[in-house]
Amino acid sequence: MAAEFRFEFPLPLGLHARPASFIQEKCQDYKGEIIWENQRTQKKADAKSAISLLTTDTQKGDVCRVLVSGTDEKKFATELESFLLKELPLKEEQALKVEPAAAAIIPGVLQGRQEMFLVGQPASPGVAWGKAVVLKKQPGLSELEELIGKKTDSPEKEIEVFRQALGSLREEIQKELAEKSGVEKSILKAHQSLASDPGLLRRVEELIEREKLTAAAALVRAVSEFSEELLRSKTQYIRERVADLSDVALRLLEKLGCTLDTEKWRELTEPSVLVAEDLLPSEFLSFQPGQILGLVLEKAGQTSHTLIMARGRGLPAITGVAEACRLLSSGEEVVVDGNRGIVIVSPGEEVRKYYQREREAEVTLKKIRREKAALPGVTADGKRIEVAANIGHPEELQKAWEDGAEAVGIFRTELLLYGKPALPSEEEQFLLYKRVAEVAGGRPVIIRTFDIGGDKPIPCVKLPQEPNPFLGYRGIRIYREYYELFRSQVRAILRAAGYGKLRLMFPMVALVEEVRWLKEQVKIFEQELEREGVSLSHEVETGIMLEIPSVAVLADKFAPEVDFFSVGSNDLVQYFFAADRGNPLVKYFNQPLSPALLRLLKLAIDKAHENGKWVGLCGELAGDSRLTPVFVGLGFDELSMSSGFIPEVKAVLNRLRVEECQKLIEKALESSTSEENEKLLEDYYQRQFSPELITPDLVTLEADCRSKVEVMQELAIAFERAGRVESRAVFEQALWKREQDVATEIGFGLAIPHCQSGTVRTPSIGLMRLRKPVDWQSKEGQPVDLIICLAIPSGEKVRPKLQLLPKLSRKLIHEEFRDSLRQATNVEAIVALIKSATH
Amino acid sequence: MKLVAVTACPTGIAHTYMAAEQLERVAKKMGFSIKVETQGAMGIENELEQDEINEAAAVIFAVGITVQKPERFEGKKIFEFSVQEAIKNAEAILNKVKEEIGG
Repeated sequence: MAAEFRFEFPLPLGLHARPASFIQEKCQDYKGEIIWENQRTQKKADAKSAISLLTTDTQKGDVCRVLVSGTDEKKFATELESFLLKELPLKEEQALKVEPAAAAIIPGVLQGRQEMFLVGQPASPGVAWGKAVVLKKQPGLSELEELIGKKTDSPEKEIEVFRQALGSLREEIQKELAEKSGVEKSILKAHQSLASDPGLLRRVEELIEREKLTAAAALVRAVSEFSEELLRSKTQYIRERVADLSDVALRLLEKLGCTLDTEKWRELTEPSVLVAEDLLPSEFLSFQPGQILGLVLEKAGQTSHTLIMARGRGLPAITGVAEACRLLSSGEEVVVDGNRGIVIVSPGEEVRKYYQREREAEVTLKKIRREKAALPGVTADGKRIEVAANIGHPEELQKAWEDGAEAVGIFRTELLLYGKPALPSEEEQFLLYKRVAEVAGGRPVIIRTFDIGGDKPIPCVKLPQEPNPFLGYRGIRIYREYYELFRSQVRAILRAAGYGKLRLMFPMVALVEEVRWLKEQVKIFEQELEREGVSLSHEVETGIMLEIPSVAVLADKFAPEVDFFSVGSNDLVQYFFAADRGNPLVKYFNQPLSPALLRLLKLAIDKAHENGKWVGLCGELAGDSRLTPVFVGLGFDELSMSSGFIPEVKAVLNRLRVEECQKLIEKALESSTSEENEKLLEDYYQRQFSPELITPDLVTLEADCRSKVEVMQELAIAFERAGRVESRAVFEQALWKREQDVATEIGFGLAIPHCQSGTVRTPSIGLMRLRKPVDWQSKEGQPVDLIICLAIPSGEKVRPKLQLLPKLSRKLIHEEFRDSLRQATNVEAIVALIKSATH
Repeated sequence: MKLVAVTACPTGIAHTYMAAEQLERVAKKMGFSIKVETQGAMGIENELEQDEINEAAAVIFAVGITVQKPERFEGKKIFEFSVQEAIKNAEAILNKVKEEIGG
């Protein structure tokens, strides 16, 4: 007896790799047999194997028959039918969203110049400069198939040869693993698991047996089939895994004795800029570290492992450069600008000088950033506040440490599920968390359990459609139903905890009884593990997200149940004000300084502290260094953010005094509106350590700049060095954009380049006096020797300081004022003049 | 002679105010009365009242973008210049206005 059903295959792209693996995942634990039969193609497959499913060539609308025989066959058949018709299309839809890529920025120096340049996307920051070496395109796997599409008389022998090659490759990777660390190690591990993928290996052996192909031919065919499927995916991340698959395949082919034409270019005569269609991770690793200056790639994705490693090594890289291999030639001198995403061919004198200055600036800027990153997470008067990183993937850890993270404040594990065909098993998760714990060394890592639902739909967990997903089935609320998901993750974390300092955190808690239930389950899992002989060396600290206002109000009752709280500011704000944060019509409610919100936080933090528990902040707000005094005043014990913000937040933190911050909060709690608090914060900055509109580091006297290009560049560098802008490249571009409307030369030898841009952190004025006037490329062509640069942040909020810029502008019309700026004998005098003009 | 003017530029933090200052300065020197409204990043400032517009002999726009609330100026004689011209050649602008309206 078997249960069966027929259905029309619903997915527009047909049955390709992703849905096939979803189906495999759904079926693999069923005790029995599941046969998939495509009525049109007459092909049958084992539904427990993704690769086998792919061979049925199932297209949209094909009628398929599914036969289930085994335990509870009827029940499973019904379940599977509903899965195929309802859940699968939804997963597919979610997976088809493609992530946007950053665009190139053309540097000021290329305005109206002759050099050829190619644009792509910035992929790893920095400037590289040297001889290009264009790498030959990899032999396409389809070409290889013709080359070696050979048959064999003894399939058994071929299978033997294949298994030997596989063993030898695994051994080889194992050896390489021992020499690598961090990101490079984790990528090699991924390759190792590809080399052990049962679906792939089964398919190869099947091809050898059934079609009598040689091992090499079978491998090529199997990998081509699989790659083709991956490439049809609209999810960038999945497409980009093809490089990993080809990499493993090519290495296997070498083991099988196929001579591939890839060795030639591995010997570089001098350190070079590599230009390639794509560069496989193993190819990248085969070069000596000092041999690669930078990378120009046509196709590598931002999440490709080669680029992740390039970032790890600090190698400038750009990708998405169409036809780079055809348009660039080996031996040509090129400049790779990884900050802006362009490559310039045979740079002339001007461009060379421009990039010389860029490189010098990079050295200083890196040093400043490193210094800030190395600061301890402590206030000026010695209060310890842990500054931590938010991560979504273990590969981000290395960068987090470099940015100065002292811990991981939240590892958003659900991000691991994006683009994944199936939920990771407990074992997979254990290995991953263990690796995180080990890489972190003694540093604490808070692992936040899967927060699925709300705005985070995950392809492999199907949740019902809800009118209000944010107020519905998300976070821990789904754990009772998806108990296995919950169980396997917590067990994996508990098992891994002993390898470092892992902490456990639950999302979307609203009630004390939920915490009690969660803790009971954790206890059960611990007992299970003990019974299984796993030694749980120590207590794992367990905390909850504070993102629902009820937790804040009842914090004194929650506190005895948990070890810590971590405020998820984005959700807390939207739940507190009943305002959807994704809805521009109610964006106004995103008020971090709202007295109501501050009172709520203060209440929660005080109650937690009274009970001896600590409170962190892991929402987006934590990275806004302007708000750091507020968080210190409220009493947060930990601040966790995207690691890029850490150096700046640490720098601010080190200048704060707790008592002053507390005074600020005392007043802020008594305000009625956010606006009052904006004012209080502004006053606080003015009193304590406000970044003035102008500081001596924004003034350059008797500069040697020879051209407008150089002036603009030096201004941009000075602004980044002074911490006024996030990115000098973006800032410089914004200044140039304004110049293109109409040059900002206004007569009197004066130019006032200015812009409003999101990259500007705080309203700022820079001033440059030139030794020799330069041409400002304006209509009248009057030379300029005095430059005043105005920068204001974007955003609707008009900060009080903005009023000061018009004051200065008006002042500049008066000759006496201009004269005094020209005659001032030192930087301090200039600063004083500008300050007096803006008061 | 009474004049009113509006200054406005794309970014609205520098030229708008420089042009306003220059027009005010030069007009004073030339013996005209002028009120200049700025439309910049801070919004409309020193806003012109309808009475003032009605009474004015002429309206000067020193702008690089579209003027807001243009209906106020319907039926008036409007002299339009770029912001740069107002900063660099305010005197020439005012002389031209004077000539044309015969004041």
